[in-house]
This record gives sequence, C-alpha cells and structure tokens, in this order.
Amino acid sequence: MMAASHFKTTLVWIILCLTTVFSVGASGEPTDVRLAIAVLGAAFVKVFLVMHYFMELDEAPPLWRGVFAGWTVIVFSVLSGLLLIL
Amino acid sequence: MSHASSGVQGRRLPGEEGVWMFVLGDLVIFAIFFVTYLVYRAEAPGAYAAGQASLNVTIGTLNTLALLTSSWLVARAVKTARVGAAFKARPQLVMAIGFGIAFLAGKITEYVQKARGGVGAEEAEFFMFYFVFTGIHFVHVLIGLVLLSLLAASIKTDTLVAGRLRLLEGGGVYWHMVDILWIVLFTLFYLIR
Repeated sequence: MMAASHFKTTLVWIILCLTTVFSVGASGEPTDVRLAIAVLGAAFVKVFLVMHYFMELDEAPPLWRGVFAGWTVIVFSVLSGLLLIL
Repeated sequence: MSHASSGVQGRRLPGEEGVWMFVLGDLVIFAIFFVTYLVYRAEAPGAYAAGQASLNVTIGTLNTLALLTSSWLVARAVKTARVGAAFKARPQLVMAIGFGIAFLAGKITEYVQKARGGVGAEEAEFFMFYFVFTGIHFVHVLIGLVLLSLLAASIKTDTLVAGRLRLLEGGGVYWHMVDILWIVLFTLFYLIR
C-alpha cells in the first residue's frame, strides 16, 4: 500500500479559505461595481480550484475540462456583465 | 495514474459519467437562478441592499469555511481510498459529514433568526430569492450527507473494488458541486453589494 499525497489538495484548501476571508473583508467596504466584480471573480477562482483539484478535472479528458471551464467562464462573464450594465 | 490501483486502467474521469452529466445539469439550472437574481436585484437595489444588510455574514462565512473543509476532507478520502487505504478514508468521510451537519446547523440558525426577526415588505422579494435558492441548496446538502453516510458505512475493506471506488468518487463529485453552488450563492447574497 502506498501513502496518498495530500499536499496539493491541502494547499488548495488553504487558498480557498484565505480567499474567502479576504473576500468577506473586501466586501465590508463601501462598494463600487469594480469591487463587486473583483469579489465575484475571486468566487469563480474558488470554483475553478474546487473543480480542478477536488473534483479532479485537472486529470479529466479535455472535453470534460472544457465543458466545466466553459461553465465557469460563461457564468462569471454573464454575471459580471449584468453587474456592469444593469 | 492512481486509478490503476482500482483496476480501471486509462479511465481518468472520477466516478460515473452519468454523475457528471447530472452535475452539469444542476450547474446550468443554478446559473439560471444566479442570473435571475441579479436581474431582479437591479430593479430595486435599495430594497435588496436592505435585505442583504440583515443577513448574518459571520454565520455565512463560517458556513462557507465549513463546506470548503468538508469538500477538502472528501477529496482526501477519495485519494486515500484509491491507494488501498479505505479504512483511513472512513474517518475523513465522517469528519466531512460533521462539517456538513455544521453547515446545516448554521443555516437553520439563520433561518430561525430571520423568521423571528420578520421580513419587511420592502425586503420580501430579496428574501423570497434567498429562502428559495438557499433552501434548494439546503436539500442538496441533505442528499449529499445521506450519500456520504452510506458511502462511509459501506467501507468494509481497505481495498475497494473498482465499482465501489467509482461510487465513492461519484459521491465526492456531487459533494464538491454542492460546495461550488454555495460559493456562488454566498457571494451573491452576502458579499456583492
């Protein structure tokens, strides 16, 4: 039996938690739309990290990686666009 | 590639493809929820800001950290089981379930606080979205906790056969989707002002 390596997974978890705390801190300030988009962007970076390193899409076939990366980019773009134009 | 240890040479997508199709469908449905929320919010930003201001950001943040930690533990459990140490994966799954239950406890606390405090007429639309979307997510968490409990209970040997390992991977993929949905819901409801 070989030992499982958890270094990458644990590093990602630390980054996810730190990003969460920083996002909450940033959102406490009076916000403008650019800050709102930055906070939203941080959330979608977290989404990307969970997809790639927890769901293991980093090792998945390109089609599946593309589909989920596509969801992330499209949803972030649409939501950012709505924040900008509405 | 570590999947080789389960005897599934060359397969690189964890779990069954059907789980991924389901996850994709759920992500698309929630994406429609996210867009709908922002469109309605733009029509009455003041009312939505008032509703948002009465949310408990501390509980929301702790809940986010709880789900992230739970997701991390499940990712660890899957990797541990894959190298033939499924018994070591079981306590990780149990801890992941614990953090999931902590999330639900936090959510129930928020719901009760809001129910006791009441919702003003101005904030009604914001809280309609809040309760419906987080409520649907709440059900997702409940389903995930049942799945993780069944998976943890089903571990009887250190080495899982390929089918059992795929079930564990699929349960993990579902649980990470629950985490992803919450990351965006938390940002939209609590953080984007």
